[in-house]
Amino acid sequence: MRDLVLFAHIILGLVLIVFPTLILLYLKKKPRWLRLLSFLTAAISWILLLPAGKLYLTFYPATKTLIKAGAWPWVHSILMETKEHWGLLLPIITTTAAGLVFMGREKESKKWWILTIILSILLGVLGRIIKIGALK
Amino acid sequence: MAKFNFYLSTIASVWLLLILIIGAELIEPFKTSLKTIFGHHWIGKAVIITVIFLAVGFLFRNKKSVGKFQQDKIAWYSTISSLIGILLFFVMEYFR
Repeated sequence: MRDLVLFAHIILGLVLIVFPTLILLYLKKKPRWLRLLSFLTAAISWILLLPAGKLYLTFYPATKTLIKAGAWPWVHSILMETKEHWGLLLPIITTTAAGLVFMGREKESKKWWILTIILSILLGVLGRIIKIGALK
Repeated sequence: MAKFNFYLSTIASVWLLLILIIGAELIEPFKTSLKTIFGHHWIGKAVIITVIFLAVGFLFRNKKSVGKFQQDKIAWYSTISSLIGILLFFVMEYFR
């Protein structure tokens, strides 16, 4: 169960890097599928909260105990606390980007898509450091 | 007529999240209330900012500006400030 949720979390997170990249590449050409892909990306950013929440609420408490007893307690206190809350802003940012595409303001949406990509990468990197922190 | 004001809804929810985070960490009864009502403080914050995002977006769908400022710039800088503010707050909390 844990692995399934973790894979879903990672795959959906990667989608939030790949889809916005595709959107950015075709933003000027405005192909027909741009709105559909924007909608899908925004929808996925909300769906991602489900595996993220399941991992955080059900499986993370044991990891948290390990981290806090280990050599890197700041990994929980700073990085995990930041990650769990930055994650809540990801769907807001992505939905704003998608909304701008739907309103025909593709140019304005550019920086929001870039922020979606950067934030998704940062969340992934933080997740990796937290995993390492549990082994210290 | 716009159907949704994405910028104002973003401004409201990103600042509200920062306020909820600081409030929950510094005022224990507030964190406990979130846990009691929603089962977990994280779920509480997620539900509250989502509701505010939707409500503000619909209610202010025709509002074009915030005073003399452009909404897009305020939304952008609010989001960046909230992201940095969250990180800085937890760094300060760790060393407090």
